Amino acid sequence: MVLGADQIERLAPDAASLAAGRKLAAARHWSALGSDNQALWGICQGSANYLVKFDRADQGYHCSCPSRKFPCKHVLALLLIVAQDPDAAPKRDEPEWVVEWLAKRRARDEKKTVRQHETASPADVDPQAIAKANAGRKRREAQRDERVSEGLERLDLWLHDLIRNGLADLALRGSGIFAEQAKRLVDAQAPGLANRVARWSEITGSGPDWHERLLAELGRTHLLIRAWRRIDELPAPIADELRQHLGWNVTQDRLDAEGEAVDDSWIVVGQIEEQEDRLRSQRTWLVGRQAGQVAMVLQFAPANQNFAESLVVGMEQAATLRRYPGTVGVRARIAARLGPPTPVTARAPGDDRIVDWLDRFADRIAAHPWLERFAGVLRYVRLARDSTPQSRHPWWIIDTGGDRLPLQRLPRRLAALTGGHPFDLAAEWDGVSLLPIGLFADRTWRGLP
Amino acid sequence: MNDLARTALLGTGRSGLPSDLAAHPTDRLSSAVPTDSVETQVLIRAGVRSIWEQAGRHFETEVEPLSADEVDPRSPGSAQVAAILNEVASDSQANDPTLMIELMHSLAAHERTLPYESLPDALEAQAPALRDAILPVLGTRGVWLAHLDPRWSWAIRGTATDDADPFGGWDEGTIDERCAMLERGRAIDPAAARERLAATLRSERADHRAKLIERLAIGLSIDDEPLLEELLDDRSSAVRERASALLGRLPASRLVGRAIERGAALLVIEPVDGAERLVASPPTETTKELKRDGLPDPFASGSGGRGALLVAMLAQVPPSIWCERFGRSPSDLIERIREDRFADAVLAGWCQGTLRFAERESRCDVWVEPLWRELQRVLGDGRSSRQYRLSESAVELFGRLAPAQRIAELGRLIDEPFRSELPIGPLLALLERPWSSATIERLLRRLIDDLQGARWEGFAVTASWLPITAIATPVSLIPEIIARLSRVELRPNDYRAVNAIRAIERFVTSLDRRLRLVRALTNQNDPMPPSSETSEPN
Repeated sequence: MVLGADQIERLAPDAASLAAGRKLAAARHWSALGSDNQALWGICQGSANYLVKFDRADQGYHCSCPSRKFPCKHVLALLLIVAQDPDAAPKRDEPEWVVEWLAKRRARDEKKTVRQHETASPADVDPQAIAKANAGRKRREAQRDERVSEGLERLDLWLHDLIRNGLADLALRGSGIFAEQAKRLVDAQAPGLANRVARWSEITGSGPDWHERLLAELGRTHLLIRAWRRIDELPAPIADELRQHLGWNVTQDRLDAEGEAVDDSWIVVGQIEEQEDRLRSQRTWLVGRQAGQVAMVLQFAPANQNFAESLVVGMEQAATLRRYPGTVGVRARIAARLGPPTPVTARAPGDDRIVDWLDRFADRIAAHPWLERFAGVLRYVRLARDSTPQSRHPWWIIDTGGDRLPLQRLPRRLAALTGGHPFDLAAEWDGVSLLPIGLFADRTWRGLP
Repeated sequence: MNDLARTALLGTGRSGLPSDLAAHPTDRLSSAVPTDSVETQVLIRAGVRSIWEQAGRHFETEVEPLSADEVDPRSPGSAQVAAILNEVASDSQANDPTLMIELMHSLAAHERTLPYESLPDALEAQAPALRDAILPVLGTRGVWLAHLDPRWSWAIRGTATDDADPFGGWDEGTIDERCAMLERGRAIDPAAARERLAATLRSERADHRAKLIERLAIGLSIDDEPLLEELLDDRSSAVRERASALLGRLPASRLVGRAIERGAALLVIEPVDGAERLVASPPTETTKELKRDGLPDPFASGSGGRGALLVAMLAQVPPSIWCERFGRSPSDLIERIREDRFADAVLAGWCQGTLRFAERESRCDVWVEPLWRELQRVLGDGRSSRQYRLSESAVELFGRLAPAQRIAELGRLIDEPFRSELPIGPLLALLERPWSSATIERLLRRLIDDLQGARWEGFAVTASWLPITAIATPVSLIPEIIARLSRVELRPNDYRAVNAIRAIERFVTSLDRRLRLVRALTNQNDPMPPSSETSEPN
């Protein structure tokens, strides 16, 4: 089996593609199905004959159809047909069109590795050209710093106005006021903070304690603005973290040059996708099998297009990650895959006690006070319930020591798969409640929606 | 709400910064930051407090760990089974639950329970027939899960774990929840449930009263008569109709007694043209007494007149009464009414009476076959008798024929489907499953003939049989059927041909899903034990 049905479902760009894929997942729609250690392929007979390929090495895929959805229904169908019956694609020699496709992919990967190597040792680069490029970059950075400073000062004035005039009527004024501030921050080239401000509209009016939660956000944002005013005095890792929080991108070159390289066998423990307007974002949480370190791969893609890296919950991938510069060091990018991914069949490293989990989170907050969330694995926990009527958090997890944490919601699948027995849970923690994202049960890691 | 949030809520412009703010561990840190305004002070304090709280949160909330489910002697279906069930559940074109019901039967036949991950979707099932099919394969995990959500309480009814008061939460429940409680209560103790209902029934809204009374059909007995008789005087016509319908199903009820008495004047034997004929004389108005017994007033509504009233009145009389009264067989009586102007109405009334009382009075069975034959004759004549719903009655009568007779009758109808107004699809649903290879062959031949001959009008009829055929086909025949259909060449050069291709694809997809499920169940190795295999931390 290449991927399980559950994983294929998560890979699908939308429900319609999955449904269409399922319809095509029958042998009668296919010819020349085949597989080897590298790939899986087949020809799907639709309105035309489409050549469909899947690369086992990194779960990459391609189809000759003109669909703008990634993966298209033909790729999904190919994976489904093999998930249903592993013998459906018998072992055979790769046809020419598969050989060519794989060769192109391997050449591209090689080029990427060479480029990383070259960036690390730029022996033949003209010093004058470098100086010129650096001067241009510094000028652009200075311009951006200025714009961001102006934008943050305007935001701070607005925060003060809010506190002076009171938060009472915000819920009645609608989400427009936050959207307006977010738009101004985008114009001021601080898109990261803009996203955070835009989400404040979800807080207003949501639950009896929304004033307290909103005030906390306003206060932390004010602290961020104060930190920005002194950014030149901050240690470099904190300044880096702050800039990334405001929306600075770390360039590929800088990441290659400065990002810490970490080799491990990475378990994909959970994944969250969000869509805003026409842009999709994906947070994939990884836990290293050997060192137990946590990393997060953040990707963006236009709606209906695929993310650059294919990472599937429940798979384990030997890889070199490059960590983004900063104090927390959670965000990372896959620099190189060191073998094909394999299904996870053993427990992942994590915290056996909730108190250890909270301590680790506190350390992260101390390093980066604007950290919004962190994830990891809590081991051997059980579901618990707060039966108090109107409880804000009716569902909890509890560890063997009796410590407990509230769940944002109870995924029905989590309850069904665990049945009141202990389990290992991957979750995002925002300091208030847990968002379950993955689960280890029956020797399988599964994603939670 | 904390004092800082209260200050921000009102606005410092009005309240300023209160001098008596409660002490907080972060105050010293906050006050060390130089500030130039009250607003800045509030923002700094709020920010620092928030970071402090986020980093050091510790929860003391009293929570109760959920007890683990009990071990089920049966294994749950594998991930492959779950994937197939998910496919069927998420198929937007398949809003008919028949295939899912069949898959549930397959699970039960292989002594498997539903895969754990399929349980939440299964518990969301709404169709009563699907719920009935799901219950045997829920397993202990499913029953455990059903306790977590009140909407899933239907799955707990009558189980060993169902030790709670079935009427717990009656006063606060929605109407659907109370209906579910009443169903559960009637299944456990009909008399106690009736008493519970009677205690609050008067205070319910009319539409709620009607819904609740319908539930008395579960465990219905003559003991329910006093309450139902009382409800015949209810203000709501919907309530009266339901009460009379339930009383009408009890041969010993006073309502049926009154119907039998009234029946004496409805049908008489008189000499007509030298032969003894049955003559129907329905009333010319609906009296107050008739209305009280749930009979319609077609004169007021202009829907059917005397004929419609006659049908309703005869339907309340056990048909065995007519044999006793006239000393003649059902076939004889049917023949003697043929020439009467109300013949179709009498036939419809007898059909409805037979179907209503057949379950409780075995003497009614002798009417089934003669009525079925007569309906074949009437419907085969091309006489449109839709106003008396004779086709529907025919379908129900077909369901009461002996199994072998059903197969024989249906074979005849499949070969000549257009001679009758009788719809074949509903009759197919009443055949015992799986069907014989002879029946399948007959249907398949008809289907392929229509396709190859591009007889689209015929195919439209045949295609309506496909959903039921997909679930009634023996699994062993499925590969051959798919192969035969794949050899039929169809060109999508006409919208009817396109529709036909789609219908065949849906049919093949359903067959394929059944085949894969059975293969997955047959090949399934014993799954891993439940998640308790997650070992304890060292």
